Formats: sequence, structure tokens, C-alpha cells
Amino acid sequence: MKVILIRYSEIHLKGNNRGFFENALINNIRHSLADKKYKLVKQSGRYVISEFEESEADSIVETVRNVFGVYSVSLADEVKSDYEEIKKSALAIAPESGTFKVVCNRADKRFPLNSMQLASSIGGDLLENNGKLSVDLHKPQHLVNIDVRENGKTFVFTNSIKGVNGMPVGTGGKGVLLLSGGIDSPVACYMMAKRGMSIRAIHFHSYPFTSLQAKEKVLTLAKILKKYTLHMTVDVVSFTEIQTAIHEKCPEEFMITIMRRFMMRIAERLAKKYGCGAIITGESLGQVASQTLESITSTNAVATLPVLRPLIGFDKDEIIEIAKRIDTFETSILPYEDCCTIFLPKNPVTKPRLDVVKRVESVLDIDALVEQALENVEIIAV
Amino acid sequence: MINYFDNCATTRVDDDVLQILNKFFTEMYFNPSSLNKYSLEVARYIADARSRIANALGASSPSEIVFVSGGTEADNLALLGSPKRKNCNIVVGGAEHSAVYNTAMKLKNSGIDVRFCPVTTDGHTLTEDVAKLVDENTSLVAIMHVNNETGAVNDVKSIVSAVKKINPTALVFSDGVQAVGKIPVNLSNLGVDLYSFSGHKIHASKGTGCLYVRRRVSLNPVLTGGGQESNLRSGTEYVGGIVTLAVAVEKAVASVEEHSRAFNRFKQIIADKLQEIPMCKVNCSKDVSPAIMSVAFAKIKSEVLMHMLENSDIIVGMGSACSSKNKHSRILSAISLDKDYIEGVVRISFSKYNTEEQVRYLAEKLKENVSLLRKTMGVRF
Repeated sequence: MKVILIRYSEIHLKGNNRGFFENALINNIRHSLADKKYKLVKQSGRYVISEFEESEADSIVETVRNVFGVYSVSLADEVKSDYEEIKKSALAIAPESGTFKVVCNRADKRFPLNSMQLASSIGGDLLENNGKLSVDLHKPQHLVNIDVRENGKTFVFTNSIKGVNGMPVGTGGKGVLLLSGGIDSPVACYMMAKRGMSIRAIHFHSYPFTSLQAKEKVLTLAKILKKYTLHMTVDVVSFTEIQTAIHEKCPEEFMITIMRRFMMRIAERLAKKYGCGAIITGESLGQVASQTLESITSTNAVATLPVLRPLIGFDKDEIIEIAKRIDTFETSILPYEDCCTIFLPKNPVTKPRLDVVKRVESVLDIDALVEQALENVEIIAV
Repeated sequence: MINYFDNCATTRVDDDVLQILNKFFTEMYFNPSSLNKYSLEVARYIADARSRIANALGASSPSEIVFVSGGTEADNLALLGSPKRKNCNIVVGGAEHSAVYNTAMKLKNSGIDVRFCPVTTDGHTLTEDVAKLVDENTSLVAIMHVNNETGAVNDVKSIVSAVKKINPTALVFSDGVQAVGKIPVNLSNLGVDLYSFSGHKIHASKGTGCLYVRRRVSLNPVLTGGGQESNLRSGTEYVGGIVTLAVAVEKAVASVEEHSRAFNRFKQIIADKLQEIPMCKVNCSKDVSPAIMSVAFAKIKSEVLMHMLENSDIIVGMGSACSSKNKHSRILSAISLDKDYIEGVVRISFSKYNTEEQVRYLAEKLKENVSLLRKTMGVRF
């Protein structure tokens, strides 16, 4: 019978809270496999999925390896702990050529051969059966794993597929993400979800200055991110009034700084409303004028919640590499303008002083503008 | 109700076209290449459509009409399928549609000498400019009939005769997607060797179009397979599409004059209103298609104006498909539009479904929103 073995990552380091992390992981795996039929049990420090449609095996493996907290996944044969059965299975899954090593783990001490004996004996069988194979105990190209369990069953499998690691989503608190539609913010989302944070997104749009296609693109990104965050809701905030007010009344070079301070205020209000303990942004130090230390200081000053910037030390290339890996890159580079690119000043201030920023924005009725924006939030569950 | 002024992008399908199409989906759905009696009947429908289109557009024989899936495919077949001799060159207009431009770039990247012809400030490609680039090694000249962004109508007939005078073996291809049904087109009279057009610009369905291939011009197919369309375009024919394309072409051609009169009146109404808007200009006013009006407003982003108009149920086209900063329309750059204007180009294109009342509403809303937008952006003159 085919089974899927799931090993988890740092959860095993947890002490008394281990049950909490394990439960979160198992719930998340169940959530991502909601449309599939299968049986999931915990067996000595790992999960075993069985009784699934064999045609769905690859899709289950792919889904599970993307659940945070999963260290690796293997598609295995489950056979009776009987030498002939184990041999038959090992011959069936063995590589066609190259070097290999048999790795045995014998939890059931009643099994007549010990680990070393079983490994060398099965290794011998494989060599005898296929002349194109040879043994390399140090740097083998392939592994043949044999895991003799205490319940009278043995798992036989070749390579393990690496999971995404991290911590189960839901174990790291809740945060709101500023999701722009660019390359960085989806990656920031991924990074925080990887550390177990539950995330909901906020998107600022400026119709008619930006198109509905731009908003649609953000929703598409949110759908892609849902694969990692498991749940995803986007609060779409209309930013047009605020932007036009800033444009009308404040010096052009402060446009972006003041705009980002408004975004932060609105994000904090929404975060508190939803019981979130952090604001997540895709900022990377020095990437653009609004991401210098001085600019970050100015925007940070309006937030009381911690602002998490998981990409702060990343180069653009590194961010793009992750964006490609998590499948958000191709959507992010669609050419619809987001609200950051309109009213773009020719020479944005790169080192805003907080006292100056406060003075120049004081001409605005900040509270009223924030309230008005909060009244018209469109909540979209993707 | 939607006030639709983006008829260069696509048009509403006529009711009679839809009815006929339906019949071919549900009753006459047979494969014209099969050997049963119903298939013979649908094959006859295709033959009939071919000769009706040939007649309507002044082709000398129905066999010159090749049915394809639309303008882009027709353009690709013309450019990629036309024979290329060793060391040959191709002359291409400087304001061609992407279907021609990008295909020409593909040929260029494969090592063929592709020469781009300059355009005038109102979007025309002049005969003398084309002639300068043509020589004894030219195998193909591709100059569009009507420009899709400015409406400029090129003198294809004079281009053909200038090209043939220099090199009688060079083929002349013209993209007529914005011409058929909008201005008078007589293929024999134009003298072109190849001419493309599309159905969905004239109230037929998407997925329909033609390449006119003059007799004795031989092309290599781009799609190979069952050998349909005299082996030039394999693939089971979209019979309903073909039949209704003929219906649409006949109707459009028959009413070109009547519609032109109406469209020119529409243009006048808009032009009158534009007088009241500072810093705006019509991009092409001489030798222009009556169906297209390209207007540039200084210091405005046309995308924003477009969204503001859509809030009043008005749909217009963006002259420039500039989607990110510094990336302007190739064509608007080619006509050397001033930088203050290049982002603010709106393309208004008419169809028979537009009324004078709609046009007045559009003109009013243009004025209102341009002024509102300039005020919001803090633009002062």
C-alpha cells in the first residue's frame, strides 16, 4: 500500500508547548487537503497519510510539502515486516542506475535481522538484480530507506522531497500585511507565514487613478499566497481622497512619506480591529526613497504595534528569487500601476526629518481622512 | 447603457450575425472536410462566403480570400509566409500594429534585414519615404492601410506603384484591419499583393478574419495540417464565423459612405467641444479614417481619464498603451508627440451603434473630467 510520510521541522525542539504546535500542523495539513480523501495518523514523531487515491499521490505530496512546519515528505510503500515483502518493494522502487545506499531503521527489535544486516542484505539483492547499480556509502546518488516499525509494518522509500520548513501557520500570532501588488510585499507575507504568523492583507487602491485590473492583480496575488497562509482576506481601502488631499496641500517631495504614514495609521487601526499584533511590510533598506532609515523612522513613528520588515536586509535579486519560487513573481510584474506610482514626485525627499514631516502634514485633517477611509473598506475573502 | 467608443478595439456583434452563428453551432455544425451530404452543404456555405467577400472588396477571384482566425494571424501569415530570398530585405512601416511590428522583429532577429520606414507627425507613412528604402533585394513591403491609434490613412495605391517601379518582384502587404468597412477598399484597385482584415472590428465574431492573397502570389503556410484553405491555413474551418464574416463585410462595405458622414459629424461635435478645453489637440486631421479620433490632452494621464469616463458609463480607448512609466506607445513616440501630451492620448472610435446624443454626452464628460483631473493634479496653464 502506498503511504505518504511527513516529517516536521523545528517543532521537535519545543518542550511543553509541543502539543500546541503539533495540533496546529496537523490542522493545517488537513486544511490544505480539504478536497481530498485520505487517512492521516500520527506515528512515532511523524504523520502518515494513507488510503488516498494513488493518482492523487503527487498532488498530495506537492500540497503537503508547501505547508509550513513540514520538513520533508516521502512517498513510501507500506509492507508487512517480512524480509521477502521488503525485498520485493525495494526492488520495485530501486533506481535504474547509479550509486545507492540502503539505510535501515529498525524500531521493532523482534525483526530477525538488525539494521546493518538488513541493509547489507537488501543492498546485495539490489546489486544482484541490476548490474547498472553500485554501492556508495559516502556520497550515494540514491537512498533506499527501510523503516521497520513496531506495529509489524515496514516503510520502504527512496528519496525524500524537501518541505518548506518553518512553523505551522497560526502558532506565531496574527499580523496585517500591506500588500501593494509589487514584488516585495507578497514575499514579506510568505516570510512571516513561514514563521507561523496568520496573515490578513490590506491593499490601498486609488481608482480612478489606478485601474480595477490593479486591484484584481492584488487579489490574484492573495490567492497565490493563500496556498501558504491557508486563509486570506484582503481589506481594500480606497486611498484616492487621501492622496488627492496630500497632493493638493502638502509639498510634493513629501508625498510618499506622508502617504506611507497614512497607510501605517490605517493598517494599525485595522490590525487592532482584527486583533492582530503586528504590521508587515515588504520594505528593504535603501531600495527606494521611502525605504531609507530616515523614511522608515518617519513612517514607523505613527505605529504603536511592531512593524515587521522581513525583507529589510534582502537585495532585490534575493527577493525576486523567492518571488519566483513562491509563484508570485509573474503576477507581480504585470504592468498595472499601483497607488504608489501616481502623483510620483520628481525628487522625493530621501531623508525626511520627523519634525518637518509632522509640520507639513499638519495642514491635513488627518483623523477625518483616516476615519473616512476606514468607513469604506471593502473586505474580500479570497 | 454603455456609451461605447472603443470600436477600434472590438465591436458589438450584430443581432443577425449572432442568429446565423447560432444556426451553425447547433444545426449546421458539420465538418466541411467530411464526406457526408451535410458537410458538402456547409462547404458550399464557405465557398459562397468567399465569393461574397471577394466581390465586396473588389478581389478578382474568390480564391484570393484565405480565411484565418483574425488580423494577427493574417499579419503573421503575410510576413512569415511570404518567400524570402537570400540577402533579401523587408520594409516595414514605422507605426504598424504589434502583430506586424513584433513579427517583423522576429524576422529581424532571425537575421533578415528589416528596414523601418519613418512616419510623419500625424502618423502617415509617405510613399517617397517607403521608396527610399526599397531596392532590388526587397522581398516584402508592409505598410498598414489605416493606423489603429491615430486613424491616419496611408496612400497604399501610390506606395504599391512606387515599390513595383523599383522592384516588380517585391510583394506589398497592407494591414487593413482598421480600413475594411470604415473607408472604401477595392483590393484590385489598390494593387496590393497581400491584405489582412478582421471580423470583430466590423460587428462579426472574434476569431474571424481574412488574408487576401493576390493570384499568383505564393505563400508558405505557417500552420500545417489537413490542408484546408488551399493548404495555406490548416485547421477545421470556423464555418459560422466565415459565413457571418461575409454578412458583416457586405453590410459594412455597403454603408461606408453613410457611416462616414455620421462619424464626421460626430467628430465635429467633439472638435467643437475641444475648443473649450485648453491644451489639447487632435493627433491626425488630414487623410484620416472617419471612424477614429485621437485626441491628446496635455499634462494628463489617459488611463485616469479613461477610468473617470467609465464611471459615467463611457468607454474610450487609450491612445497609448503606456503601462508603466517611461514606456510609451511605440506609435505615439513614432509620431513625435510632445512629452506633455504623450501620456494623455485618448482614442475615440465610432461604430454604427453610436448616436449623436451619446457623442454629445461624451464631449461634455470629456471637458468636465479633463478639467476636474487637471484641477486634482494641480495642473495650471
